[in-house]
Amino acid sequence: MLCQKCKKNPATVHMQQFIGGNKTEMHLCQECSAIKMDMPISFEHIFKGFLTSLQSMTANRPTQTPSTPCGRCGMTYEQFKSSGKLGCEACYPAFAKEIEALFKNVQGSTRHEGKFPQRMGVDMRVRREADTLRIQLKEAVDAENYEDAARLRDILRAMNLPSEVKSP
Amino acid sequence: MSGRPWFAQPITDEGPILSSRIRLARNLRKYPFHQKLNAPGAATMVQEIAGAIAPPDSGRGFFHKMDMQSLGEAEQKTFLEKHIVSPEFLRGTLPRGLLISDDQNVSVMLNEEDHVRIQSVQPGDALAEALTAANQVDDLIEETLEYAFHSEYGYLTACPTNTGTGLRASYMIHLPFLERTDQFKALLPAITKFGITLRGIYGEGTESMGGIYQISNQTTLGKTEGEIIEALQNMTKKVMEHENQARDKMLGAHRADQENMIYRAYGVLAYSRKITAKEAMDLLSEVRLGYLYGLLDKAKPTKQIYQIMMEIQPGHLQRVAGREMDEAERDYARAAYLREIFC
Repeated sequence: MLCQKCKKNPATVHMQQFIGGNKTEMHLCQECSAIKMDMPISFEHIFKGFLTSLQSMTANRPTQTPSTPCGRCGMTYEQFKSSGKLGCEACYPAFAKEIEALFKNVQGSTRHEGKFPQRMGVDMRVRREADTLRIQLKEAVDAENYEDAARLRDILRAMNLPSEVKSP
Repeated sequence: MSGRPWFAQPITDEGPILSSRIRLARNLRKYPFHQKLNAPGAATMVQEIAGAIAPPDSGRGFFHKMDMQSLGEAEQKTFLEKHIVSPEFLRGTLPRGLLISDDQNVSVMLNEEDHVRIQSVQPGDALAEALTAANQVDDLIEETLEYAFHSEYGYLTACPTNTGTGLRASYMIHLPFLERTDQFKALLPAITKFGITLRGIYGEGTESMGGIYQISNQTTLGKTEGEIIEALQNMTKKVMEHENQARDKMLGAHRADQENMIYRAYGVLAYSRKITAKEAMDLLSEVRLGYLYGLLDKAKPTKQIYQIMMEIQPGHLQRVAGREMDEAERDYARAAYLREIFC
């Protein structure tokens, strides 16, 4: 396929754009795509684009959109989609499924690895570490790697977790 | 801390990296986010956070609380031109607060898009130091107030693009040679793939003035603050390699042309009677190169080039003049200001 713009070079960059549920496609060569994209793609752009594509996806399947607004601030999912801004901390659990999908696509991860507020830091850090060890332990058991499993179990025991932290 | 604003420190002019900036976005648990916050709530919240950072009777004179409502338009604009506040912050209609440290290098916007936006700037390449200063304010707030924090997602922000660390790390970087090359445009989408973005600082969209760009991380979740900073440092190193290649090529084969451009730029800055911000920025960029690479045999002004770039912006000019000026008046005032420095 040739580049739609210069009609000279082979098209190596394929772009899809969803606007109001309509899909447009562009097939460009490296050079023309660089010109087309000379506006640096801000994260907000990608993010809004992703929200819009979610919208067009859900437009065909209206039952997919969470219909219950956030119990604390009353923000509806529709409002969030149009503004891109959440209303309060309770919006996160209220729209957890959609937000996690967003995180995966836009942030590439759903799990915070950075700083913790000091007041909850220690407890949470231990819990996180234990979570990771438990996953590794399960993997070791599944792989019948009992030597590693025993080692991980011992580490977990040595962490001496308080009972409420122990339960997953 | 030297007690001087970052832009007034000579190190700003000593390399391609002018400054290092850290921004932390935070929200308090007990208030709804900006969009759902009402005026009385906003007023209480602003007071509460300002009190946590600089309690009135603590003798902690480190932070000055600015009363945004009482500031004139020109004054407000100077904060924008210094990158201390954002355009959104100035446009806001709800009660807002702004705290600025003595040296202006740490500032906190209260009730912008998030309840708390801590910003910390250091001259030159010093992201770690900037992060330390930002963390100090962060810890100070957290001593008395509870942040919206989720065990899985981290710090919760109004926009999910900031969730997690709430960290935006950036360098202000001078890329005068690279921006003239063809490869520059191809570089932008390539960088984006690594969760990093590069954009012009002054002007709209990509259009840059004076070859000054900002390179920053886009993703805030799934990495530690240290990893985010390291990734940005690595990408910046790559960009600088490209800049240096372009520079070596230019100064190798076209040195005389480059010198000519620098001296002509100096001449216009020293003698023009009317000049636009865009033209002045581009000429200051040339002159900055002249000093940086020893191509300009003229005494260096006592002010840093970037500081001059900032002070020729509309808000700064109008504040000095003490009145509103239209575009033409500003162009005359700008030329007069520049003559005083270079003539």
